[in-house]
Amino acid sequence: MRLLLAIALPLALLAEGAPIRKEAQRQPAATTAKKKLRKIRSTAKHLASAPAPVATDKTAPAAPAAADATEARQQPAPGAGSGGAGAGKKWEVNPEPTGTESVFGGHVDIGARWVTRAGDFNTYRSLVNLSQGARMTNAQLRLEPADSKLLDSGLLTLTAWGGDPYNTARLDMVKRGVWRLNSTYSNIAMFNALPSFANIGTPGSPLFFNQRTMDTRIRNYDNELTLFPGTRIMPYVGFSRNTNFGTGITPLVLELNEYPLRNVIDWSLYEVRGGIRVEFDRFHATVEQGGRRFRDDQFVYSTETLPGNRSTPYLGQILSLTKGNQLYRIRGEAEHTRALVTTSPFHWLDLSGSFIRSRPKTYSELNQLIRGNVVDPNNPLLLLAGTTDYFFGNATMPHISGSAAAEARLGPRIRIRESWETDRFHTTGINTLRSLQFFTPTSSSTLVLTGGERLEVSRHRQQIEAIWDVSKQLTIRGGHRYEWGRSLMKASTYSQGAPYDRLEMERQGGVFGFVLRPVQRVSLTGDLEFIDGIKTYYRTGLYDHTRLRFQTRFQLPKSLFFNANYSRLTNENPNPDVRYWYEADAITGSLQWLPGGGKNAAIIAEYQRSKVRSDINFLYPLGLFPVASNYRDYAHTGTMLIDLRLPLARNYSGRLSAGGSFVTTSGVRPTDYYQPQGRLVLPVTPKMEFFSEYRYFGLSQTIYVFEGFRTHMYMGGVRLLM
Amino acid sequence: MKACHVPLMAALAWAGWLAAAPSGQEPAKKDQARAAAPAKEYVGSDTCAGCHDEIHTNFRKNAHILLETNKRRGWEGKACESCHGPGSVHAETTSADDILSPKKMTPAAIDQMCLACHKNQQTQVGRIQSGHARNSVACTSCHNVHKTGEEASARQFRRPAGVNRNCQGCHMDVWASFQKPHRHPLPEGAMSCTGCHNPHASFLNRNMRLTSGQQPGCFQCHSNKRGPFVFEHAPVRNEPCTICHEPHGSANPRMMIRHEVANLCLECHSNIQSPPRATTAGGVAIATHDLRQPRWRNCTACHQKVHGSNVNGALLR
Repeated sequence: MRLLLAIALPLALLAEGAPIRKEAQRQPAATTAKKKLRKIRSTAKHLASAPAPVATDKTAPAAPAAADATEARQQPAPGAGSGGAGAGKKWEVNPEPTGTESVFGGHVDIGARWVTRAGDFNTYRSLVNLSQGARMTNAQLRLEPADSKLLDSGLLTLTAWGGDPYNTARLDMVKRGVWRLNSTYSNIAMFNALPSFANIGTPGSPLFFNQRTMDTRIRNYDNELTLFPGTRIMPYVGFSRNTNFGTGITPLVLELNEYPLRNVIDWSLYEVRGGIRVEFDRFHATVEQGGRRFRDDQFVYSTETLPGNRSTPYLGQILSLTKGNQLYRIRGEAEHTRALVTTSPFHWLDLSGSFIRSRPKTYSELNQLIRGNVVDPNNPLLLLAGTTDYFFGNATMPHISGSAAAEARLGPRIRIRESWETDRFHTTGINTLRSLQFFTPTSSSTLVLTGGERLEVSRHRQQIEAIWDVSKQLTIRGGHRYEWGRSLMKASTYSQGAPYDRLEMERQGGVFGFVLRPVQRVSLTGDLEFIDGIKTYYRTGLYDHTRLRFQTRFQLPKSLFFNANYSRLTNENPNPDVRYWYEADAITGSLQWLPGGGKNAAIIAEYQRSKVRSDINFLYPLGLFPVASNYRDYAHTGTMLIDLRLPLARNYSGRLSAGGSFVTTSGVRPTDYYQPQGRLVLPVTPKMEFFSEYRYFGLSQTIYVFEGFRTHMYMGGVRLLM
Repeated sequence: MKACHVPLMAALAWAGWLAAAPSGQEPAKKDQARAAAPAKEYVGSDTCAGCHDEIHTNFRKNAHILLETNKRRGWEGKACESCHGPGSVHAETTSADDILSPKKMTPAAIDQMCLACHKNQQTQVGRIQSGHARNSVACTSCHNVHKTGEEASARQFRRPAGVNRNCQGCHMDVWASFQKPHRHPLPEGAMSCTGCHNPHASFLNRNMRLTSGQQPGCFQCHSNKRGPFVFEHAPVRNEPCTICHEPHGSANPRMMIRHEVANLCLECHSNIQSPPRATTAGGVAIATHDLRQPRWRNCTACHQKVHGSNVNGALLR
């Protein structure tokens, strides 16, 4: 036994003693170094403990949101973390201690909202849609067990639960080297019933309502489980779900009249994907196979006799609908294969590529029952008592896309980048209509028609660029881009030639850019594209266009930052049958003042002046004479956030945030939209904080005055810290 | 390129020459300094902990701690120096000039540092042609490695609001669009910029994300528009969604790029002649569409399946 122990014990120590051995080997050098460090540590301590400047990277200093006071309060300013927890002896607002060793932590915000509102309710719901009641506005729960074989960390993040129009959840769990799970969920309300959008009548008329409304909820659910993350071979599997369910109003379109009917919307998509990632030092490959199923069931139905949108008799008779039902049933399936590769065969060369193929298909059915006084779609002089239609059809879309790119480093200062992309697919669809046409409620005839279309699309892009690091202060790049494509699409109804048109898209030009950093606190970047159009598919498509973007950042005294940004897009098509001119530009400036890293105060302000102008003629349908379409939109947009620490008593302070945003536009649709807000947070106990929030939303439009609304919201609640 | 752009290019080239000129005077001095500098050696993370104990302690919760123990990566016990370079001189002098620091490195050098490990990963496929790489946006512009708790980028990016705040720092003009009344719900925290854009790499324009293999990212949420349809509306397929919609925010309903639907549709559907005599596609609307009546001003009131129909070639149902 003693012999066994004598052998086993050193072996056991050795087995887990690699660190010990390394410690022994390293110890002389480390000990010497540590002794030296201790000697000079007192004088060098300021280097280790100096707060990091807010903009640790001069190319892109972080900028806390100006509009979200809640989030800004949780994260007062980057770089403030070292002091954000506050001294242990002070009672400060504290989202979460930093560098904590606790296994479980987090916070939960719960409260209640009160809402007062004036103005149009449907517009309010279309834009804001916040209601009153109890809410859990925010929660973050963290689990980091110290010595667990199953889990290293888990983080659950929740926002806006309890009845708000948008809620999200995210779960991240990892056991390093073994497994990783990322799961996200979102539930977003899609309510849209703007009176002005698709209303057929004038204010006061019975047809004054939006005939294309929806009150639905889109839910997204995505999960991905990766095995052995961080190792060479990582299998993964994912599951996604996207659904939408709700109601709305949609017109049932018949010959020479339309009837707005109630609509039940219900579609869903499920996707499963799985693959494997292989990562070596100089090579990576990912191969993925996935499949999805899609379902779309819509039901349009009437509940009363309707006269429709037509206001005049036809052939001396009033057209009407006594019963109208449409039942859609669409089923779809698809599978895709994806292959991704990156490799660095030489230290001066990087290559990457992708290949993706898919073949989605859909199968559709429509049952339609119409009863009333309607026009025969095949004979405009004939009125019918009704029709019963049955459509069935299917469509496929084989799709292949690929890309390849290379970067060659020809020396320490020169890089050449070449990329190429291609995307090709076509859609082939066919359907059959079987229609029973009722001349009287009991007498009918059968009509069978088939139809279908083909659409072909191919597009390609090739770009080459050279980047020159002229010096540490300046990098410039320049290159050439060429895009081209072809499309086969259905010809115009009045086309005298073939049933399909073949069109091409082609454009090419120069792309340039620079990054200038004359001193550490100043940077200027530019991105420029000058593209000549040769062919385009549509009158308003990109043709001769220019994109410019300039951005400058500079840091004034230590805690003051200024950013300015200018962007511009122009697009012009001078062809005689088009004559299109488009211009959009925006100039934006922002200021951040974060004295002391934002611990006591932070001011963030941003302003933008933007313009959009577009001129083109279109043909007025009745007469085919040209009419000018001149679009103008000029906007002033501003956001601001002031965040202050409130020292209310000795060793007791809260935080006050105030700010919000405004937009005021002029042009074809003048709009004013104001969203101020304020928030006060006071610590109650070391584990609880009280918060109080006020928000206002106000919309007014010069032309659509009836869509205006104003709403005041107050929310009070507590944050529970764990 | 038009002739009027030549002066701008000349100005940029002149600025480049100016910026390059001073460094040409330094090579000799640099050679002398290099010859006199002591050789740098790796000292191990424990040495770094001697002064940077807080960073060293917090680093245990960082994903990069993998380097400290993983033999395959070749940085076992030297995780700090895997990014910051050999630290022997810095350990002696404690000068920040004697160690690599992203605060003082060019974007290309920062990328080289990070991509030494992260280059050959799935997230970087398409990086070469992506907008961030082309504009020298370094990895550390968005990611911080040493911050902990709420300030860690890894924690911030778990929340849509954290992602949006980070992107807003540079893309202020885009964030301003999201203050308009009709918008994707980013200010509400329901979505983030990365829901539609891939910040690392994409071979699509504007770093657009793909979904289900190769479909544009818009269809991740708007699945009912994916198709395929028996009767397609061609611009939905051969142009991006932005030909009709402003994806960030707009004063126009349904985030359209025009205030009235009729203008949007008729600007394309105004070709009396068909290709090839007409240079573009679209045709014309039928004569009964009398725009003087409100009934005809919103095309989608009748052409309700404007993204594609399985039943009707005119997209009426």
